[in-house]
Amino acid sequence: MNIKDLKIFYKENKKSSPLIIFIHGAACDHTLWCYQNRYFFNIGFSTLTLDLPGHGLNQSKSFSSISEMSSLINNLLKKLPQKNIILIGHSMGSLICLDVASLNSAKLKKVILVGISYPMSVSKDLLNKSKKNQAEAINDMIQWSLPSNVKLNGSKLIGLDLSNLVSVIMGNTPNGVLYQDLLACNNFSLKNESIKSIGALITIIAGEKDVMTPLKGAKKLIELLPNITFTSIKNIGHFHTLENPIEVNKIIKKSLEI
Amino acid sequence: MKKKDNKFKGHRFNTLSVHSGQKLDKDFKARAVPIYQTTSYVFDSTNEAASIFNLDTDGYIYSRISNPTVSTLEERLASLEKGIGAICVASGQAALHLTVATLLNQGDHIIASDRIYGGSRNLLGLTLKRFGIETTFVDPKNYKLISKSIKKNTKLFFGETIGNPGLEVLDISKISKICETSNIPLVLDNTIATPFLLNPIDYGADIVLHSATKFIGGHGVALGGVIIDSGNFNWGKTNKFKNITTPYEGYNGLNYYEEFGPGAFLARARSEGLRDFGATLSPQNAFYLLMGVETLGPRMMKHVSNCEYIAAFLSGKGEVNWVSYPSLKSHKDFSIASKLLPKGAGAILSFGIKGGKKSALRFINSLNIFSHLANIGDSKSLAIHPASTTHSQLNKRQLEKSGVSEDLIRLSVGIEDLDDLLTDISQALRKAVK
Repeated sequence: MNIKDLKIFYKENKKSSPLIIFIHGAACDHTLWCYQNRYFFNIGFSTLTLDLPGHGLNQSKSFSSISEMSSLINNLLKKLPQKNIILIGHSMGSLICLDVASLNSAKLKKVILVGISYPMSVSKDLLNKSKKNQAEAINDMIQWSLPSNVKLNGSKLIGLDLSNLVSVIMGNTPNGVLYQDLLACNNFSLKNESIKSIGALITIIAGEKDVMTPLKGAKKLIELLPNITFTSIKNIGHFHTLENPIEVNKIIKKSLEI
Repeated sequence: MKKKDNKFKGHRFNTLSVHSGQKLDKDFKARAVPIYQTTSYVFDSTNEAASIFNLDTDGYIYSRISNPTVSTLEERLASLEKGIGAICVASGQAALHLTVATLLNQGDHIIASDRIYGGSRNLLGLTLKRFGIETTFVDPKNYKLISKSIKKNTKLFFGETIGNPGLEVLDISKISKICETSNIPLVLDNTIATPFLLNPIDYGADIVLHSATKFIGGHGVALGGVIIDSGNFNWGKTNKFKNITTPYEGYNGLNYYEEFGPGAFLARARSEGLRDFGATLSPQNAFYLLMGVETLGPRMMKHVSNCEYIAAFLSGKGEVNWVSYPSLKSHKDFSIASKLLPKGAGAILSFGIKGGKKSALRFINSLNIFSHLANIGDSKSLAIHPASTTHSQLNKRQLEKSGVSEDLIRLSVGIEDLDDLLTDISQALRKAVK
């Protein structure tokens, strides 16, 4: 399947299987979902991971607003044959999911927001740094994203150094893209009425030690959407899907069983 | 001098060497890393078992593939070498074999420095040849020849950051540039330098290997090897690395590159290579090596200071023809060593003794503190005559190309008191050259 400006990795289970679409965050790519993509495919879902423009293997010109990115996803939803679609987004990807959900596509049944703050204000210092020196901004983001025990003692991933792994994934992003991503997050807002009108079931997954999108960042969404399900995972920061993939998968699985 | 500086700047070397990779045991709160002396692991459910077996979930199955004590060592060494991850194996030779076996197939080609350890030369030049993998050995300073030797089926360049036993220092940045242009990974053995003295990834190495048996373990009690991946090599840039970038039958069509991105090589090496070849590091040996890693920094400082002094001392002795140690101004790689190895050029030196092979053997037989054995990197000082031992399988021409002459004695300088080592060397020289 070719969707303009999107690099797609699609795995079809049965034609009737519900489809999960995973959307990555700022300066990241589809490999952030490596422990979710395969897991959910093998328990019966079709899955689709993607690289947004300017990210990962997608060399298209990057966008600087959430609405531009979400219009790509809307376009994708229209072209997909599936009628039972679940959107899962991380950080910036979760804002894209929120924006798409506000259009209430009949195909969209559930939305899972991993590491969301709404609004997602980005400090002026980080914005400036990401513009002037992307590598340093990435270093700061990893410092804030991972809890101190993970940076010193390592993560749950066998034989991998999570700090360096994330550093390589984010470091592969062309210069300037992180700034655009952070700017897009900072500038994104929806009318309260649009959020209240969202029909799809929403689950939020938060990291207890997340400094980038802290627990309190979900407060406004919880107020606006009373039926929202909120779960936080102990002892993890902002890279939920890599820091504790087993727990993230359990929560996603449970929310898909409702 | 190209220096890549795009890795996460977290804790410093000695802090990482003591703490990295150890997730504290929540049940009994053991401070030391426990030795998980187990072959296998209990699954919570049949679903979990299926999921781990299918690589959907990261988890322990069987200690041939992964073990918590071993993974502590893997993560520690990855952090010290600034890699995204590591795989520990039974020996340094197993590390080289697993790297080659993961990336190459029958009909593929390797370019290797001709200044490498004799065992590695045998593996590449003789043993792998039987399996259809050819190696061209080149002078690692002849950059034109390296470029010229790269063929369509060339899949990697292999060299040693400091050659064993010739102690040539590789200009990593220059070779990295050639490899980058030709889209082949630069695989470097960093055993002699250790991550304390040099991080080859900073200068463009893609994969770093160690015989952990040497300075990393440091006490001559356990064999082990490690492969550390920088995560920087783009496996998908060409269609050369089909083992990484095309669906693999062994896991129902898994495409490692698409799924794991920078982690693809390590994922394939572990899930296929450790599973099928089984050159596993035992948890007991991983524990011994972890003990060594904890003191790697302080030990290397003492190793290096002893070695630098002994190199200068030997340079002034009448019984000695020549001394090879990269921190000596007389060494042909002094300039590159000063840039790459500001903390010192390791603790191995070689020298030529007057009187050739006979004197060399007499010298070794006369040593009291230095042990005569085929190892390097022990806290104890060691000596050997490579031409008659470690490199004895090589013919005269190969010996010459490897920089191994008949008068060459290799010393691995330990951490004993310097004065005692100097006394030992002096008396052995007197007895050897009468």
